[in-house]
Amino acid sequence: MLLRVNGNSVEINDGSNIGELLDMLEIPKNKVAVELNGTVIPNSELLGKVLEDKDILEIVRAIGGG
Amino acid sequence: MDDSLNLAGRTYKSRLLVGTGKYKDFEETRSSIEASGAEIVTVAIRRTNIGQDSSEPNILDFLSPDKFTILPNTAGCYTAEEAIRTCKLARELLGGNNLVKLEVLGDKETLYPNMPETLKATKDLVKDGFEVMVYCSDDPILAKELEGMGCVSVMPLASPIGSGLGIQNPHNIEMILSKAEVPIIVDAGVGTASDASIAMELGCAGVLMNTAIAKAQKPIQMAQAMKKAVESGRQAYLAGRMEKKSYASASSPMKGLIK
Repeated sequence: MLLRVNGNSVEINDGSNIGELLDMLEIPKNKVAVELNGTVIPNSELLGKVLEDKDILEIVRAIGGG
Repeated sequence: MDDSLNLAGRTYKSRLLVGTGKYKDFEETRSSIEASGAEIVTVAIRRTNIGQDSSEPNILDFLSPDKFTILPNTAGCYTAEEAIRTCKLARELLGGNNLVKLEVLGDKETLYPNMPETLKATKDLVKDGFEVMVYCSDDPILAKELEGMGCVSVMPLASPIGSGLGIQNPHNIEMILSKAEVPIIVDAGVGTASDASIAMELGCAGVLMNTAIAKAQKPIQMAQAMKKAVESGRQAYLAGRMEKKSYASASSPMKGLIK
């Protein structure tokens, strides 16, 4: 299936969850937050959340800022 | 004497709040922040890089949330909707932390706050349980309005973000202070130590700065200077300055002068 992740097209196996997506993209699982189709996913549900084709995700982290 | 800053139910010894942007590297960031004595540090929320080095260090490895109050900002947001999304992501990122620095910008040239959007975002964020520290214009009416909406701190700009022009309208800051019941923190525009002292001498509860330290020729030394400036300005405010006079008043007694 095809996802939109941070503005990029990302292909992943059907039935994958967010934890598997983060693994595939080599994004460390702590210190990130994820928005799925406009809704922020609570940390407690994050890794097991199953994805669907055409899902739109924003994965963010903290960076230096004023 | 206990002169802590009380903010959103927590007390802080330092009245200097600092940003973490524009430094050369994380090491310089950490050294400067340690030198500043700040306990509240701001961070920005941005997309993770995809397909880049996964071992890239994270700023939270250098500034532990156990040691500092991490204050996520909504810098770069131009609408209430973008700012609210950013705050919600920041809350999850920081393990349920509700404290946020709301800034909704008007345009790229001035980085002045878009106040209609700021008010809109404040209303929704407060309703959603966020503790909002709000970057705003130095308008006394709007500052009071934001306080009434439930902001835990109102943060008028001294001058445009990153300009280093210092406090352009101290009279407005004084007017805001005269009516305030929440901590007023000058946010943005401080350029050097005297600017920070002036803000504190006016009676501000604190000063938030980033560029003034990060873009000084020697950031660590400037961080030390800012620490002292905020402390001395606060002390002068508490001491109560002398009355200003239009004419001279001799400091030495006239009695006993030789003839």
